[in-house]
Amino acid sequence: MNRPPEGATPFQAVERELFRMIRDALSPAPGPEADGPDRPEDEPPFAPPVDLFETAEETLVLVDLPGVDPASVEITADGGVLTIRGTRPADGPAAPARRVGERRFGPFARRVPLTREVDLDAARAEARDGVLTVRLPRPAARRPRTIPIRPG
Amino acid sequence: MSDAHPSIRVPLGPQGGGPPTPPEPAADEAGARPRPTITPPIDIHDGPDGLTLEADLPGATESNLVIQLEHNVLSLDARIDPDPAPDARPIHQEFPVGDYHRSFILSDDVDRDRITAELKDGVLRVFLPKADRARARRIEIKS
Repeated sequence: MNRPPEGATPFQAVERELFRMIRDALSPAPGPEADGPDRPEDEPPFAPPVDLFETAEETLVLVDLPGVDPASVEITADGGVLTIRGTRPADGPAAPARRVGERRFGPFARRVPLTREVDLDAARAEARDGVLTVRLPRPAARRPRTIPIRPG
Repeated sequence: MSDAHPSIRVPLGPQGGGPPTPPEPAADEAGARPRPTITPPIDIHDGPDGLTLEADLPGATESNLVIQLEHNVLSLDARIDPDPAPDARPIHQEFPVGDYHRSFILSDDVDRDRITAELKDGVLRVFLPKADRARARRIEIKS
């Protein structure tokens, strides 16, 4: 509650603030550790914005992760929830003073509930221009099929 | 954030707020729906040789990003392509499809002719070197 919201979009900031309020209200004593069992640092992870798209063959999850090495991103799926987590290292010049600081660094985590059945074994992820794209194909049996009509 | 920086000023407000207004949206071939303007987050570092400006522009590429210097206003504009696939149906969207825009007012301390920029993994880094007269200089004493 003492940190000003500084999200990429106003909605994100409001969302984060709202979740913090809900968490504060629901967890009376246990302190800030109400979100995950294994948090590497005491800095709460930030949530990068996510877009979800669907095509006939697959579900696409797009995550804004500028300056993040895709090899360092951990993508897991459990119980219909896709979890994307990692750490964004600070990338500015080391010594000089920072005059304006709006960008987020440090640990990030984002959980995306999957509404459609997907084949996790066939999932692929690629990163380009600071956007991580996770491709989750639909199970082969659920893909739309064209039934050929045989001439009688 | 509004503290007067000697070499660069960042207009406040989501749309820049300053005198430069974003270029008026040209007649879009797809339709008249206006595209939202996104204000990217930035960092500014002060170094001995000048300033380094960094902006998070996920989705921006060298071909859709334009950095312009007009008089003393440095502006960043990038037009981001919307969908990952032509038949993709958006289910949930948190980053609006729109245009990045941000502008900065440079002082005369910045050497305009030597400004460089690089874009990598959605992070833009602009180096604004100090003009010679703004740099500390040792004056030789001739005998």
